[in-house]
Amino acid sequence: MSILEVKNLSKHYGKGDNLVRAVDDVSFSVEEGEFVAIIGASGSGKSTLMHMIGGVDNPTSGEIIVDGENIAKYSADKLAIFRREKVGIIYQFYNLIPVLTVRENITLPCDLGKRPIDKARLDGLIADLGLTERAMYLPNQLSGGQQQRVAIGRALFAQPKLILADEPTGNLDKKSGDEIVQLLKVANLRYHQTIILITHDINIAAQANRIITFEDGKIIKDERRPIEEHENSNEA
Amino acid sequence: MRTLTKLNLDNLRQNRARTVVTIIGIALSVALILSVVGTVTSLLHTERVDAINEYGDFHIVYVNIPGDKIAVIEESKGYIVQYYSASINPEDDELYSYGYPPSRGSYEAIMDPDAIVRDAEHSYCVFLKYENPAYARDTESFSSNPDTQLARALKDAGYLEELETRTNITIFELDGGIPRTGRILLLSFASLSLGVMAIVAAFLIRNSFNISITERVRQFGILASVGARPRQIRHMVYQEGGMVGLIAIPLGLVLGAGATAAIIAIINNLVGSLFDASLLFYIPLEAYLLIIGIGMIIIILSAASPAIVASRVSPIAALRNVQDVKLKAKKVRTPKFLQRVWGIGGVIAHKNLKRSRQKYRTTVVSIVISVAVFIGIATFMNYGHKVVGLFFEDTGSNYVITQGSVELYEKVAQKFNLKEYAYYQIPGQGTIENAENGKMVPRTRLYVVSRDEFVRFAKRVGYRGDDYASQVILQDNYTSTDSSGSIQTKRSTEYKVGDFVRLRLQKMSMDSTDTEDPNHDEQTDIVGYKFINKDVTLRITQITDEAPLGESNHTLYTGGIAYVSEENSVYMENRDFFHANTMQIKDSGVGEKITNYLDTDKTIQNLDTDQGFYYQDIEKGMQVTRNTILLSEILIYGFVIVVSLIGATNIFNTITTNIALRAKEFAILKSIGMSQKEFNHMVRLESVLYTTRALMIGLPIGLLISYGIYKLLDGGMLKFGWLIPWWAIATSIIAVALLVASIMRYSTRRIRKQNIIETIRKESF
Repeated sequence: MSILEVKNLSKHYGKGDNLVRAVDDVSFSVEEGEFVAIIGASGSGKSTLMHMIGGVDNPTSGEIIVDGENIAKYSADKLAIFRREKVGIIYQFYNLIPVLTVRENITLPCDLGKRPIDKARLDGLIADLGLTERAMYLPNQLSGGQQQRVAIGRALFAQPKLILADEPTGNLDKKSGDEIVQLLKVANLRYHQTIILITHDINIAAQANRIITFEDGKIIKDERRPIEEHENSNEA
Repeated sequence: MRTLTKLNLDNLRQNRARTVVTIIGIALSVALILSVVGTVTSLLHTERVDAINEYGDFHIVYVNIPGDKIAVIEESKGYIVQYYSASINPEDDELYSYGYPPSRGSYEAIMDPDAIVRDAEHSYCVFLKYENPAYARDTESFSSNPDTQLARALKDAGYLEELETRTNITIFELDGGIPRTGRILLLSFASLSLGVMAIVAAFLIRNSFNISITERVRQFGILASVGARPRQIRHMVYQEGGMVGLIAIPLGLVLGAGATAAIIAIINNLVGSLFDASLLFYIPLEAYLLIIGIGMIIIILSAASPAIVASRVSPIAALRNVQDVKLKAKKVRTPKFLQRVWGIGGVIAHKNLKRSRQKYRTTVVSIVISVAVFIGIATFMNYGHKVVGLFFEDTGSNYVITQGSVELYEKVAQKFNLKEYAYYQIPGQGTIENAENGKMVPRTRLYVVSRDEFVRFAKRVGYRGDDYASQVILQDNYTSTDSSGSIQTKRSTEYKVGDFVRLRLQKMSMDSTDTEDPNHDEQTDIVGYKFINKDVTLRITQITDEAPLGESNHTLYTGGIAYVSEENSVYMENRDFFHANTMQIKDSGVGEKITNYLDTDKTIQNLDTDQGFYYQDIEKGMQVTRNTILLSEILIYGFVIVVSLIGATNIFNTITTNIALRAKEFAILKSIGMSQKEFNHMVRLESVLYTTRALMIGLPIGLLISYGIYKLLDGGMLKFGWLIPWWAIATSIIAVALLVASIMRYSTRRIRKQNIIETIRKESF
């Protein structure tokens, strides 16, 4: 079953001669448990696409069906609830709430939805992220890689249908970046978490089991390949 | 350097709202200071013009000096000759009364020294100014001051008569001579308020710069990373201040001059009759320069510490994802009720305030200062108002006749067709012992009120029936001065409604048959007179602190005053114990006619009592009093409003910037699923938290200031205890709550509409 279906999705900016087709009549679907990498040059429209899927940007036309519902027509309030329950977004610049601790940042989407917090699962997740000792730190006391791990924790903890990662390694050194990708892979394999990752780094994209190539607002290539767990776990 | 200037201008333009509000804040401070200075200079100028018109433009006049000795004065050091006049008749009242110089009308000024006949036959008055007025009357320099020197020189030249001089004291003082205490008070009050206002303004404006700096940390970091020296960055902050001041100070001067003109116009209109001439608008160039100087100092002082902070921003701040302020990772437990009532938004708001103290401190500080200053000034002004009110109590009466008779009063009322008036009859009263416990109770005065006024009074204090004959209204608000000189008003009797008051009516009699009277009191008899006593009992039906027409709202009797109507049986049955006291007339505009009638009509002499009556037209004097009170109210509220506005501009700046700085944080919250409603909740709770915290600090400080002011003035003009300024407290609470809420709303308006993604994309955090 498709967890995500995008049908004829477009996003246009400007008018007349200045019209920019950031996303131009794009259709594709993602199955549950897939780890999809979207690659493309800067300005190819991949981020715009992801923001629309994440419910933080509105499409000009087309449908986005997540878990059977078309969010393209959602009201602002419904979108907010959609974001807190169905998707976890990871940004290049972490975007944590500066006044909340690691722990509070991770539970924030659940708190917003007034969902009960499973303490054991939270502690397990924080341990998986390697943040146990820093659970009570504020974001500004962490390194970039650590902050990004918190952001991943925040996305994972709410157990969303989809995790959207927008250049999550773009601001990190290679080692930290690899750790982040590794964490996403583990989530994908161990929890069967659907992940869509945006990157322009072909080496990172190679870790996914499907690579969609984007250019000028259109999909120009869509290839699938099996993912090999043991190979990666050796690396880690 | 030019790039930096351009950056500054861009920054001011980008934050247009804040720039405009900062300019308004500075302009208002400047205007406030200028209007205080301007009012004082106008007062002084008017005084000078009056003095010149009345006496002439000089400091001292040497009276009736023979023509051949005038050269001695002209050659004496330390003087400038203004002009001369012919000798003045020493019998002239003008010259010899009160020690004033001759009035200008009584002499003709001779300007030309050649017109003086320099022989022993002619004598002249010589009008002089001191070259150095401050030195002229300095007691330290007595033996060498110009007057002493001149007296010696004249004596040496053969002038042996006693020297006759007069000082034009106003001009002398205004030119720098040693002033009298009254003027010292005025000037020190003015400079004190100037100082206070300048400090407050500096503090508030500093906040605006501070907040501007926090927003630009990243920019300063980038500049530092490309090689801007700390000095250059400091200079940028000062330059920003300079740019703002360039607009704000001239604007403030215009506003201040306008306000001064308005104040003078209001004074002239309301209390013009208090002064001989109307006040003249006058602000000398020096005053403008002084204010410009103060304005510049305020701006430099307020920019100083933000400039230093800015110059210390490290280049790394721009490159790393660093906070502009330090956060504290302390454990914060959000109270359960906040969580329940405000949801997760409330928790975040609470943690924000707890962990990001520095960020909101500027806002809280600005509210605290505004509230404290408001309460301080409000109480100070309130005391001033109280003093005026105490000295000029407005009892509502416009005309009063005393020691007349009921017949006279009725005749006046009829003749002038008076609408609202009252007259009172009082008995002679003796002391009486309280029968119940044997203890002396203070005697209650008995006033019989004329019919119509009694009805009005009874209704005013809450009586709704129509049995006026049995009403006994006790006014019990004894006002006294305690040992510390404070005036206190409080209840002094223990009577309750329904209690009985015993009174001893007393009259004098010369009739020998009265000795048979069982009530005859031999102890108090005076030779030739006998005192007749009669004890009566009244049942109190109302207790009030109000008084009927023309009577004071502060009784001086510890036993209070019992008011009854003319229908009351105590009066009806004992008429011969009562005599007429005063008549109070409320009708306005009839004073002159009544005075004329009482002065001239012979027929009323027959209605007169033995002692002869007095009358006074209160309305004329009262008009000035009422206007003085109105004027002081206008000035108080004007002052308080302007100070509050300055505070408001500052609160506006700090809150809007704080919110703008958190735009990205809000966008993130939304991107992970915070709904609009939760966002509104969060913002609202932050307003509530800001407000309570600021008030919890600001109100006590304000009360301390208020008490401090009271202590400072106590023993001087204040004759009453410290009053908790409830209305100022209530006003601050309401005003701050409304202000913070509406500013929060205004500043989150843009955030509500913002595109989440675009905001998040902005790298700076």
